[in-house]
Amino acid sequence: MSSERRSYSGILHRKTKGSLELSESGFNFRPDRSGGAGAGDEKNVAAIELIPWNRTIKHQVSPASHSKSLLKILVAPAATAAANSGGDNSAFTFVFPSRSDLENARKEITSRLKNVKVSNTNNNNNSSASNKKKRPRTEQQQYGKSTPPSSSYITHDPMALIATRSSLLASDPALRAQHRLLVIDNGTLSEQDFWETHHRLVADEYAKISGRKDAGMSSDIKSSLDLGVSISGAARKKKKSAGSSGGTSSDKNDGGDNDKNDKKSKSTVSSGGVVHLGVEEIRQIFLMYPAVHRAYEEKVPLELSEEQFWRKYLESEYFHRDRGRIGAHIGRVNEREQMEKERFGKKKRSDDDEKQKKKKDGDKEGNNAVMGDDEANTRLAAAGTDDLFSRYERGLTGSNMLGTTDSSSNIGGTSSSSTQSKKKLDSINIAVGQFDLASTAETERGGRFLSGVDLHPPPEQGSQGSRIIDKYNRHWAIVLHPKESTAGVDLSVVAAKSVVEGCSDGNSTVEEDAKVNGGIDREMRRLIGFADADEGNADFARCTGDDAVEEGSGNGYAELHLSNIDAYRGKFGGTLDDSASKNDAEKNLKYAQFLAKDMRANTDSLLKSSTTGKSKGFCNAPVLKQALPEEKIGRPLLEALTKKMAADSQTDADVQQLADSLPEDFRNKLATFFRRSTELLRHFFTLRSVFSEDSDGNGGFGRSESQKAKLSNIVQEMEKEYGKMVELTKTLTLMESKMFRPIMDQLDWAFKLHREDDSKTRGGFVAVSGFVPVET
Amino acid sequence: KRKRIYGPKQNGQKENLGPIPYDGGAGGSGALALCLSSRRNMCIHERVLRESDREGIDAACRSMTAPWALERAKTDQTVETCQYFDGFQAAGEATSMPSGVYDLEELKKWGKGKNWCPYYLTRQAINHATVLVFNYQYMLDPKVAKMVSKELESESIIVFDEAHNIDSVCIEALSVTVNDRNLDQATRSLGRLSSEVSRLKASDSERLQREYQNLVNGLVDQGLLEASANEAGFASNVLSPDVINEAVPGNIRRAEHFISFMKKIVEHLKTRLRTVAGPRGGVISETPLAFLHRMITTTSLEAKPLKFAYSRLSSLLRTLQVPNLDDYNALTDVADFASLVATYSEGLPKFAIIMEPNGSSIPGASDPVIQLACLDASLAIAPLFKRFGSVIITSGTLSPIDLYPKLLQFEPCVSESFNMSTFRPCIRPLVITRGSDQLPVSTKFDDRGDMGVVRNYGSMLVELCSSIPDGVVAFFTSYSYMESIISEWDGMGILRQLTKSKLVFIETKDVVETTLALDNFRRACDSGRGAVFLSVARGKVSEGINFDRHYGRAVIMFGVPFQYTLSHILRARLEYLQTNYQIREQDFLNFDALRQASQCVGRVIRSKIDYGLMIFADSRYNRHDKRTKLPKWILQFLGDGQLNLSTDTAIAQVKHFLRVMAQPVDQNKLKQVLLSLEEVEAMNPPTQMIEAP
Repeated sequence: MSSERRSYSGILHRKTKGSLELSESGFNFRPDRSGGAGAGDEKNVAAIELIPWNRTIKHQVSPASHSKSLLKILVAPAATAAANSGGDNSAFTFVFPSRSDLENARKEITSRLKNVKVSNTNNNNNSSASNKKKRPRTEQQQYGKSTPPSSSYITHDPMALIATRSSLLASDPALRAQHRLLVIDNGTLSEQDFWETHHRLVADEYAKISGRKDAGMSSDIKSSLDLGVSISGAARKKKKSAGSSGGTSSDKNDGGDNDKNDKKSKSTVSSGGVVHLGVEEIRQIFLMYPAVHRAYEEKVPLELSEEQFWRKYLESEYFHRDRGRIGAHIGRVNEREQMEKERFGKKKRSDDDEKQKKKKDGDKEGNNAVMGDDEANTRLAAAGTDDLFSRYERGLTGSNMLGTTDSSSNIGGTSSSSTQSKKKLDSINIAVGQFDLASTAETERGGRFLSGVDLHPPPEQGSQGSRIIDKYNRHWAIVLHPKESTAGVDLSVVAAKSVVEGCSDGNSTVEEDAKVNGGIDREMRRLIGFADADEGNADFARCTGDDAVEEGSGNGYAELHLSNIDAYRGKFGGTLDDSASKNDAEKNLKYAQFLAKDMRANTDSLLKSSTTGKSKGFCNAPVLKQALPEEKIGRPLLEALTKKMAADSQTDADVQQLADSLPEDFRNKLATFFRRSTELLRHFFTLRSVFSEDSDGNGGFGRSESQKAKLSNIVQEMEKEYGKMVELTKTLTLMESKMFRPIMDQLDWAFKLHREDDSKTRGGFVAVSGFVPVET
Repeated sequence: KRKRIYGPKQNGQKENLGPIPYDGGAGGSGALALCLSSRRNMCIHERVLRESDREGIDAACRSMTAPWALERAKTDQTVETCQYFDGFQAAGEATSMPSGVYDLEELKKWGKGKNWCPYYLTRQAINHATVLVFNYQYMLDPKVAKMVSKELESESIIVFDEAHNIDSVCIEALSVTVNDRNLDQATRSLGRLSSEVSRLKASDSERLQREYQNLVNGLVDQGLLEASANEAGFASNVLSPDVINEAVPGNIRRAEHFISFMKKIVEHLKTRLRTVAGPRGGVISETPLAFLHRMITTTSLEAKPLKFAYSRLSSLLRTLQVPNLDDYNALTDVADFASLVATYSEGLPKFAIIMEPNGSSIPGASDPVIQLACLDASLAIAPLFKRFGSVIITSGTLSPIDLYPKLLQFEPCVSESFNMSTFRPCIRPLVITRGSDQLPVSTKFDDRGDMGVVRNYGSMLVELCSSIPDGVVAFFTSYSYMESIISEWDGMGILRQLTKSKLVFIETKDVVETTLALDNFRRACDSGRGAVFLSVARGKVSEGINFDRHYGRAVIMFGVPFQYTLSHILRARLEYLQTNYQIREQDFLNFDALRQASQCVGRVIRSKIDYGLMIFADSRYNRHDKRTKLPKWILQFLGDGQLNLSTDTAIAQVKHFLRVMAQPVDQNKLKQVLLSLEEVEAMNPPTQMIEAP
């Protein structure tokens, strides 16, 4: 939201040209000096003094279909004026030169008004007003595009915050238990503090609720809204299919009408399913059906409200068009083929014998079939005609959305100039490697290649099937490019972009892989190496031989594990020296230095001890003979090591066994204590670190009174837990009580730290004023 | 010195130069291996490359390299020429290439280094090369063949690789389709030509006169032979032995006369089309003789000049110095049509002229077409057999192998079918005949619309996709079938279920779009997300695109990909095969469908260490006559246990197979199937070059 003033010029107000200025505090209108220079009197009529936003009641704009772009602002009388003149509302009407200006102005005013309102409500009452309950959702949808990422957004919206927290608590019993213990029962932590430590969880949950996940996209198709699995719905569907396969057109028409009524009742009366539209659903609908997006842009909120729009959408023929009427489509194709077959067969037969009679019959039949089919088609078309969305779709077909261009004729065929310009997607280098169909098609006479050789008649244009195919082809574009796909983009461009990016990426191994037989050479070489390697060197797990083993010991090999997750995406560690940024290089250097230091610390003492033993003062270099064990002890050593390793590997199993043998009750107890204490510890340490961060200015611990109290609260709670555990361990057997030991140790450590902190601050050099030490 | 010429497969030919076998026999390392391709793939001129399509590149190149452009450039400094072509010309005879193997990238690099145009360079180097790799069409299509293969010695060895479709290519090379749009365009082209002619008459009538002289002397073909390499590009579509070595008939020697002659032909075709589309029209099938007779009687043209229509046109285009030949495509098609009809009208009809009122599928809109369909595949390839001593036809899916000699009319010296050399059962064909509910599944016409079949196919796909990792490819029998079944699946919610385990990519009719889809399919597989590609057998994806390694762990073939049996062209061809070659209708259809199916499933495996599932989902695959037509290397893995499965039993097998195959490779067994260096050297010279699938 821009806070600076913005002015729109060339605007007519009371037949005077001037500029409308929107600013932080309000709006005003200034006539052009040049235009109205002569008439000093009129200027006064047209000019509007600054009217603050809090006086405006609402603003309206003319619908898109209107010939003029009008903006009307309703203003409550000024407080002083109100006292004088009965409080009449006054309205100002502005004529904008262009629609886009109007749109901008409208959006700006909306946002400014919202700001004003928010600040008003904040001033008046801190708790969020209950009448706003309905608003956030719609607003979020409307302006969701420009809002910043989830975690920060959530702070602006208390309702969402509460909802998120409660859903988190509902879904996670452990968290709920902690929450009850720490916040509700004992009051150890304040609500806010508790969530502060879980802010990541909250953000994630919020993202999940609002469908705004940061990474990755589910490949679920969200736009295929389920209209609730009510019985009536299923029955309707069945009825529909029966109607269409029956083929009588009147039946179909009736069915369609019923359909509409049915649905209306369903979405208005809440007896049937309720359709939930989240941000993600809406986003996907916009992406998958560009026509819907176009309609939304133009209609909402000027002509239709949000709710009206979506109701219209759900009721529309358009919405139901692609969602299969089972059996309808395949029947149609078959019918067509059947017709052809009959005609064909007839022809043959008629050549042979009984010419006249059969032909007559057959023709009649054929005609009937044609009529039936055509009629159904036209009816279908007619039904779609008065549909808002299909109208928009027809408008869109001209532009090149993914799936609407049909270039099969212009590449293979002869017409090069007329249609080619429509599709100017550069077809060279559209793909990497083996999948470059376009290049092949264009290289030689592509006719055969493009039309296929099965001689099947191509399916009709714009059929239901092709629409569905387009839909799914849009879907992958959305899933694979979640960042780029926003409502209104051309997904084919998005998809193509990734290819180009891939090319320029220079990630050689990946691109090499994509080529025809690419990567096979490498793999083969690797395998030959594997086959040739002697048994000692062959790595069976990875199927690699000598070379790879050598490589592995060097730098060129990076093992896959979670910490270098980039390797999964083909970014291997070996190439750091060239491509890594300066920052990374520095980091690496530091790390290397640290490692070196660490290593030296470890080895120095060893070296010293070894050198002091025999070759005293001679030289610092270790004598290799001593570095390795003597042959005599080598073998026992190896055996011992093997035994040790075997034992180590057994411990895991042992632990499991031991854990299994414990009584259920005890295990639960242990788990509860563990959870509680860790939760407390986490709070303790985070608070502590926060305080120590605060302290930088004056040195010492900058704890305020309340912070201090919080910390001590936590420590008290920890002590309570500790006490409980001590109690408990007294009653338990030695082995079991031992298991509590680590938990208690951890707590002990925390206590110790806390005491140290206290003593430090007590004896500290600079104490914050008002600091009162609390004995623990 | 013997030459080896390869016809590589059609798709993905750009990168398809993988391992080229050296012909080490003659000169050891002195071999030069080259590949030929179109300007689009070979051009290195920056400005020309900015053109996005082939036609644009061709035109841009011609405008800079044609002899007349060079002529003009000598006097006029503003005429731009291609520096690489100039460099190549300047080097003249001195251009030679060091021995080695050059693929397209290599050629481009080398050309850039030398400042020579790689396109013309390879055209010239044909004579020196030991191994040449190029598209079939350069060999089979008489229009192009002349300029490429005319200078090859008859001792050359011709290898048609991936030749399973060779009969279709042969037929395609001699078939022409003309529709309304083409004819309109032809009329326009003729108008342009006539204005060109009159312009030329005013400015440079000498040139026309020269052409006329040449034609009088009957030098059309000889003139072509003398033309320099860069202006060749046209030759008569009529096969050389069939060309009457005569002078061009007098009545079309003058350019104006020829143009009005062509106008008559176009008009005649237009009226024919109109009657076909008219109320009393309908599908008409005629022999070339009948068609020609009608044409002659109505237009009062002679048959003889018709035979020369094509060569006369190309001569005219050359005389008029037309840079953008593709603008005249429609006209050349018409001329081609006329020449073919006139030449092959006599004797046994090896062509059929089929006129259909509704060539396109848009309901309501009538788009009549006249198709000149070649019925005999041997026609185009016969000259090759006659001219070259050794012709090898090889592919992974030549099966049944004995049908090819019949189709192409030749006596094979050696005919051999090989197993796959492998160290583990790396492919697992499965014939699924029933769904989980034990109902048979099939794309047979009668069953196809059955909801049970649709649902069973759907749940089969979903279940397979949820137990197979990474990429899966599914083929349908035709585009319209795929469309309809997809919309049914969408209605049943099957596709939505599918999206839970895999991203869904679907082939469309648009090449660019499909390329994008494929590329993103790859990305989805690379990222570990897994994806399924739904495409059409005989479509763009079914040949040449590899779904090897994780890009395709399974190929599912829904149904038997028969050709559209109601197509009139196919009918005519089947009849022809039946009467002339005694190939039964059903045999040919089965053969054709099965080679296509195996071509589709063969996408899944491309190397020894690769593995994949081949799933044939149709009850008809279980039949003996279908199953046995699969190539040997698939059959060798198709045990009884993998026949007649239902979906659930198949899933169990799938899981087992994938678990076994994902284990590390056995070192010793792998060694057994790989050749050591010594063994390779001992095999020199290689006796047979038949590629293992």
